[in-house]
Amino acid sequence: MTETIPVVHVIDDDDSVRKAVTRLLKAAGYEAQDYANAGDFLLAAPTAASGCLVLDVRMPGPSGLELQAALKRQGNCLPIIFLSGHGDIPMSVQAIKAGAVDFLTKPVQRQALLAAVSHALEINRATSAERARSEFLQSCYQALTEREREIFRMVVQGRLNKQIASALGIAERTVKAHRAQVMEKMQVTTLADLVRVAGELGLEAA
Amino acid sequence: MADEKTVKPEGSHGHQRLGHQRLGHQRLGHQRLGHQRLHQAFRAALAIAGFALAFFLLQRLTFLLRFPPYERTTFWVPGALTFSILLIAPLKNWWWYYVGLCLAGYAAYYGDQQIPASIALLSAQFHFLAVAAGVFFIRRFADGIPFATVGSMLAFVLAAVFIVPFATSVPADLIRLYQGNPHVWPTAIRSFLSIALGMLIATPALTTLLVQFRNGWQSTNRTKVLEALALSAALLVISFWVFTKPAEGNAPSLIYAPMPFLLWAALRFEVSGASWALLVIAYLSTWNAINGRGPFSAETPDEHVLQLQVFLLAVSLPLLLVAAGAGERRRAYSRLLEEMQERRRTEERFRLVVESTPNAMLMINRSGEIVLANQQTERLFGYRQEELLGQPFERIFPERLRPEPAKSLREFFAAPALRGIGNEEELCGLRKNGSEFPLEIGLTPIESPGGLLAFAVVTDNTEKRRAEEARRELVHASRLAVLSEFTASIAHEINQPLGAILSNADAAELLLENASPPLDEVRRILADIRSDDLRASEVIRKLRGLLRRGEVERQPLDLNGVVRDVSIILRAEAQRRGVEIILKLSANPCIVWGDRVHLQQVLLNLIVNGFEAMAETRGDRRVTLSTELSGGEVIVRVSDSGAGIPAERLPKLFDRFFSTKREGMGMGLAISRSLVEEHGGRIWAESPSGSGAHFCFALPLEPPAAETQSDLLNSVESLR
Repeated sequence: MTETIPVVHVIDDDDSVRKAVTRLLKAAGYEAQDYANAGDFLLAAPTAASGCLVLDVRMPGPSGLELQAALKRQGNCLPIIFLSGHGDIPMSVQAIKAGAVDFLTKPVQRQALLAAVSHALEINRATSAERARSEFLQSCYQALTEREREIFRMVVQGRLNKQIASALGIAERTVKAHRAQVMEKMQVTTLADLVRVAGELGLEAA
Repeated sequence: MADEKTVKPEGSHGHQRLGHQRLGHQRLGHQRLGHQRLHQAFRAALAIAGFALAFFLLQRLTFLLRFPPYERTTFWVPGALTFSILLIAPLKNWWWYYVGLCLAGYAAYYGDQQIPASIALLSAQFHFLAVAAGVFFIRRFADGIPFATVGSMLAFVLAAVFIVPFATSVPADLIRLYQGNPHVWPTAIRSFLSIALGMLIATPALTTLLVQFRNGWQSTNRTKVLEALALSAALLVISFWVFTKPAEGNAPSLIYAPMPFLLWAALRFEVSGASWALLVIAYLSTWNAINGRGPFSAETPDEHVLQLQVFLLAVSLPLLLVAAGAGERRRAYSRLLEEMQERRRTEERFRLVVESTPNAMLMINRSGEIVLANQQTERLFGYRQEELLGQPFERIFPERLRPEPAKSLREFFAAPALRGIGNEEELCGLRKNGSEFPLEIGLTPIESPGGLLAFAVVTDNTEKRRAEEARRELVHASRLAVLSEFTASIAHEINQPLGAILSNADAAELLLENASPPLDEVRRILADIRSDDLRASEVIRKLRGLLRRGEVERQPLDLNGVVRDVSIILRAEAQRRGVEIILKLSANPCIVWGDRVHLQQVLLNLIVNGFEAMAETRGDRRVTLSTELSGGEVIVRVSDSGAGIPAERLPKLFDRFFSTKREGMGMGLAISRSLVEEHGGRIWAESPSGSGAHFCFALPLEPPAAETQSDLLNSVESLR
């Protein structure tokens, strides 16, 4: 799990608002990057980077909501805080349903903005940790051979070595050796841990 | 007699003749012309014969009054007939009377041994020439009708007493001298006086007789006729008495007994009366003298004649002048009377007009006093006429406004011309009961006998002002209605800079909490705060004008600037609706004379109209604003990229309550039209197929202030 500095991406067509919000975030100690429109952000932003978005709802070209939808399609799950010139209720409902972290109206209060940003970064941090672990387990799982995966599934289904050996038509000793190999490759020491990992990988259903 | 008037064709004949000429039928015209010639010849013959006969008879009558043995006459009347005729006859008819005179002169001496026919004809020539000379003299020096004024009478007297007798008798005397006549000198004097006296006494009487004959007899006043009869009778009686009394040594003073009656005739019947009375006296005195009666029968016949002539001349000269004076005075008096009546009628008409007009009217003199006020003034102000007359006219205004009308009145009398009073927007009248009402006053100069007056027409403007007020309200309400449609966008326009300011301030605060605050960054933040503040206040300033219900302020302004301002106000709204606003402004300044807010309102209406037209448009949404100078006008176009407008709707677009929108009141475009027309411009819509709708208006271009510019240049020059 690699630790990257989270970046707050500010996207607003209004130069002075964008500049001021970026400035405030930087003063509050965040790493902030500003973009005049959705296109600029899409061209520049590294998808894997951690951080969050402060996004103006109404912009010429693709609007904030349109950018939100596009990011979701790409699987980019940076949390989004919306800024709006005026409380547009239908728009805020749509934004929140689509997964926005918060919907703030301008002129935005410092506490509200900073709190929203910190919350968003927390969410981002959480999701990226989760994601890192699942990627790690996936890579471990990928290292297993076909036979080992078969035995892994049967072990977490709670079958005994004897049952597995008779089901596969191999020696019980061989099953034991595979089983030790799986434990080692999946970096677990107990059966309970192996069952949990299988749960994280979603293997129970299979 | 000579009278051109009867020669004129009658109206209907003239009309006929015109018709024939147009149709090209000449025959009837010729016939008419022949007929006319015949008529003319007949009239000439009649005039010649009539004149000859009258002259002959008068000559014969004169012969009866000759004194033997030298056949002297006291006064020669036939010459007066020639004189009278030529005085009133037009020059082209004079030959008639020349012929008549030759005939009569020849006939009168026919069979006379003393005077052969050749001499008679010759003296007729001289006589005609002499009378012609006299007539020319009178026509040259007398104005209008002879005898009408004392001046004309003097001209006549000079002609009658000197020119005609001299020119008539001198050639005859010369002939006598040539013949070796021994009595030339006494004869010369007496015949000179005889001719002069005849001319003087008889010409006025004969002339008036002829004029009356020519003009047809006019019915005279009954009492005047009775008076004339009484005068004639008295004159006859007294004359008989005076001139039939035998001469009694030294009592010639009695011959002045007819004087009062002669004066009566002169004063009451003027020149013709005096002339007739003098004729009566002359005939009676002469007749009686010939027959040896009366005061002129004592001496020899030669003496009688001279004495009679002197007496008659002495009486007739002043009498005729007095008569002319009386006539002149009477005519002047009646003219004056007529003028006075006319003036009274005019005044009455004026009064009726002033009283019957629906406006209140006042007349004000130079010192600012009311000299006339009509009934409407009473009704409007609640004063009675007597309460206003003689009062200073400022009294009809409220105290606070009085200096203005007083100043206007002073300016009016300094340069009298039609003008108004004060500021029409604010001028009020004050009623007797203290209430005020809006009014309008026009001043017209009127010349009166008492000097220049100001004629003030007062119009009650209560209704007009109310209507104007209602219209202003409507215009304002409509402006608010349009603006209210995009309050959200306007709030956004103000919110943006406010949000930026807040965030900047927060950022600055956070930075200052540092141990070593980055002051340069804080300074930059403050500069940004200032510019954002200005940006917000600029939006508010632009809006405030539109929201305010202010007075109309006309001034020269650049339409390009107006378009730019409106595009800024609408920027956010355009964004919200996904519309792009494109400006295509003229490179030259488009200066018009107008009210900024009203012109912005027109543009707002047209642009919002365009926005709404494109609400359903799928493709590009564009509103193009363009200005263009064309033939002394500025044309502003608002073009949208919507579906356009069906041609049959175009003319109705600007009508009141015509709307194609579900929520529209149909007032926006109607108000736009009235605002544009108020600026002396026009507004219209075009919809060329496939390119949306174009709403256009044109305003007259304000000519650049050339003097101001040259003044500016001059001052720059002088600075160098």
